[in-house]
Amino acid sequence: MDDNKGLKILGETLGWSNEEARTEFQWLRMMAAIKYDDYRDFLPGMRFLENLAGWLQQFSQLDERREAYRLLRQRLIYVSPPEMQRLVELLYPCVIERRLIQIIAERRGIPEYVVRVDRDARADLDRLRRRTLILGLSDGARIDILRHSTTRILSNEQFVLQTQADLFKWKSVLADLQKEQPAKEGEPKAAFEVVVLVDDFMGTGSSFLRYDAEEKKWKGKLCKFLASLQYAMDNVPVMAENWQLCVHHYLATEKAAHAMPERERQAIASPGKEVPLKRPSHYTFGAKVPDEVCISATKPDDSALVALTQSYYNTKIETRHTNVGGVKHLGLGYGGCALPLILHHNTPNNSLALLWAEAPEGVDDAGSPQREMRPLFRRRQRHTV
Amino acid sequence: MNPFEKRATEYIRDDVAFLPYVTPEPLVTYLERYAKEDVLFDRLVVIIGTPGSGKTTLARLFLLPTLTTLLRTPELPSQPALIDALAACKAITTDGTPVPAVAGCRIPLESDYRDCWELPYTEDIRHNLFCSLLQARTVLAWLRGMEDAGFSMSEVRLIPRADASAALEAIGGESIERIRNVAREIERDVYRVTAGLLPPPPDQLPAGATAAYHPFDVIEAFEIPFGTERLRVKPLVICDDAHFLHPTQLDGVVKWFARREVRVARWMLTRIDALRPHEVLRPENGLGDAEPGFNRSREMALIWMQSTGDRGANRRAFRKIAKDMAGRYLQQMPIFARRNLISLEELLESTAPPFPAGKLKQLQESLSSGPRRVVGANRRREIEELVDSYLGSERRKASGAAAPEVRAMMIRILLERYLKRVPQNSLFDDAIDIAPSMPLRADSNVRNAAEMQLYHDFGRPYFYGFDTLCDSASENAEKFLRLAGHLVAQLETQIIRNAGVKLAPAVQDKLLKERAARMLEDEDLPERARVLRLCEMIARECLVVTREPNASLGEGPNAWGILQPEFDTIVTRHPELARVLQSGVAYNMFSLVRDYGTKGQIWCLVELSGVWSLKVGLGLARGWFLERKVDDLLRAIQPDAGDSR
Repeated sequence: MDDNKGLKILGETLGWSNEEARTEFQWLRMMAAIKYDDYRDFLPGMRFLENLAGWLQQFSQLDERREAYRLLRQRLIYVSPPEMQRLVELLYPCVIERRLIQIIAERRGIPEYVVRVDRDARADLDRLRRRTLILGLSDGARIDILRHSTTRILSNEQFVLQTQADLFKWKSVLADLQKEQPAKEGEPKAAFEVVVLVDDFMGTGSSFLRYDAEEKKWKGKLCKFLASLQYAMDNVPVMAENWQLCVHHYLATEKAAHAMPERERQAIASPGKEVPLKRPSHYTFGAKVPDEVCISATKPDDSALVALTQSYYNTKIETRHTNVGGVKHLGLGYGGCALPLILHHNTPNNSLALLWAEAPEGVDDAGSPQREMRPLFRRRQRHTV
Repeated sequence: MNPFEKRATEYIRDDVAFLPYVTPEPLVTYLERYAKEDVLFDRLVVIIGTPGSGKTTLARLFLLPTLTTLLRTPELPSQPALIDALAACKAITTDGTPVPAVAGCRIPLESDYRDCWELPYTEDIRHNLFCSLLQARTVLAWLRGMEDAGFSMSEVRLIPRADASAALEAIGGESIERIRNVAREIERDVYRVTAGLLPPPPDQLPAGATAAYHPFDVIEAFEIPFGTERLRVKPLVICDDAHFLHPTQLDGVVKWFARREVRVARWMLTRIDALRPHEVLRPENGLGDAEPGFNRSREMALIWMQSTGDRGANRRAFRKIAKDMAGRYLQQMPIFARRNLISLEELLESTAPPFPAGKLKQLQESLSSGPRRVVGANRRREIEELVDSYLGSERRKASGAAAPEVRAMMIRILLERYLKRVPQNSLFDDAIDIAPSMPLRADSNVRNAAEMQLYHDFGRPYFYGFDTLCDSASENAEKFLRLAGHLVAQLETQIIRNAGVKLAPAVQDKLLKERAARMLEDEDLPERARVLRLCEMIARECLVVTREPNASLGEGPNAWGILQPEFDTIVTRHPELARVLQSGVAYNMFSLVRDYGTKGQIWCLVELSGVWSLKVGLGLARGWFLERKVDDLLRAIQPDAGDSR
């Protein structure tokens, strides 16, 4: 659709005066051009403006449409590819390298700023850098960009694209390390001392680590990784005795960032030993989404929006996977996170369902009529129902 | 994309994309006269203008790649007009096939050149470093420009000055490749000094930084192949943004460029804030200090890109420039081009809308209320006849000036004037019919005053129409584009919404005021607080007089007038005030109109810019002012300055 036609429809849909339309057209054109049109799910001819028109038209009242538009205009946070790339590129210099310097400084009992100046400490740093392994927890880890941005700093053999690698892979990465750092006489053979798990987004942290009350055990990507690693270590001495785990998410909610260390401590202490770590992990986050951006029924300004999330809803979007978050109704997103957040490659389901959910009109299992839900930034579901 | 909002020409690198935006009018307005006097390429030319006056855009037309692109692009609709204008400026020769006559290059002075002045060396060494760096970069820019224009270096020949063999050898001889290599070495060596963390001691300066290197004194012309001919082109260096240099450094450059030994054509583009206050407040004295043997009028040409001389003619000339500019910009917007809507003038309604009946009734009732009720019936009838006679001409009827509200307001103003011209004790009479001390007249001043009063008292639109838009820009291209851009954005919205292709006067008025307020808010300039205080006080006091019921100064003043001899003392007696005035002029907040003769005396007017008039609601006509003194200016720039009267 011609952009101007899209703008015309939007103007009519939202009942704008010519003056309002002028300001909003400028804003919409700009944001579509520099951000929204790049959303991965959009196709030529059906990009942001067209989706916006369709999205708004599902709301039957003018004030509802205006409220939905206000969500877009004033509250939406959209992380574009250049922004995400920047977060990825900052991982090594701002997080990994600093952590390695901290470790060397602690071991040698020197201030961190001396590490680069002292020749022996620099050698230790170089050695430790090579003994660092980086694993992606999902595609969102963008290992490709990370690898590209650390050319000549980190070796290709230090990156593993999945957390549940097979024995062959573990042997391979260890062999490469030991070839580059052959053991001196009297010294143990080289092994990895730091592991960095990387992922794009942490909303509630339940994907990473959660306690399943039904099965009475800890579950999540961390548990899977540690189980896989334990199996490898039973066969191959891939990790050094005092190896450390670092966990980095490019983006996280403030709540999850705050809760995760404590959650891990509980998991370590639990009798089930699903998290057999000798010391707590080092958690870092590229950027945190502050709590105040979340939509909340307790804020007077959000009450109309919250009402929309309730009335424009279809139970078909609920699955057993989404129930894990602890909140059945997904109107305010998975786990009730109530985020107004869009990532360019996919919308997290922690965001308001109005933004990402798609469901046809119909009836639910109990025979209650369910509304059609049209998304603005459609989410590609990772799990099949 | 709205090119009005983007200041399109600044961001367009490609000449083919750049040229459609360029209007030839400024070439004619500002440069043609100097070209006719043959002073554009044989001496230092200093072009002075406010930000956004179009200096850089103008200069870009003289670059060799731009000239050759223009000559090679016959499908460009504006090509003939641009060629004619450039030929009038002697940048193109049109005996036969048009060919370039100059090879310009632009050297922005905003980077390392100022750094030369900060080095810990004597003034001479710093000046020589600057000269070497500038000349080396200029030579490289000329050669690069020729390559960009598609000329092979093997076919380019340098034409040196006849008696400069040693100097020629020092710059690389006649071999273009050697000349380029020498220029690169010089640039590299000087850059090492200016950009290094620690500058070397004077006796350890790199060879290139101290070598005798004077291409400007040597190079007479370049010979380039053009079609089947070989062409001689005059090298031209355009030093842009010279205001970034240190004032002493700038003086040195002016003196250097003003020397007769410099063979290349040389221009300097600078903003007004680079000058000294006395050069702004008394521009007839020119730039640079007087020195024995230095005759300003012979050694340099000063071109001010702003109103001098016949201001009415300048205003009309700018309207032409603006019209052409707007047309070109509209053509770049498909939504307008597709509908052949490329005349902004036609898209802005210029007829006042019908006046609401209720307000008209209120206005008519006011003619007989308050002090005006005492005017006798006969006198009232006479006044009405005066107004009707003035408005009676067909032309005025056609222009809408005979609208009933205009008539009523003109009568009201004349009634007020009448009351000012009769003895005050007669105001207690039941009805006054005596002759006024001075006869009343209904003329264009009263009509304009009526429209202004209708604007303030009844909300009738005042700022609309293309001419008003142009006049509001105070002859500054960027200001025009910013104001027009806001209107064009609204027009675009209307077209998208099928809501008409013309902009109503009320909408224009509102948008212009909005944009003017925003422009003033965004304005960033030296002495900002004091300049704003001065402008606000002038505006406030002018508004009071504008709204006086008798409209003593027509549509109202927009300036303060200070007697010229008193104004001339500011430079020596009040240097701080001089700086404030300079900054205000440099950034187009107001202009100084010197030697304005009226009331039997000579005045200097501090005239607010059109943007201020838009924001506050003052007239755009020139010449109306409030009489003030230098003390009033001084008081105005103090914090917590109250009214001066």
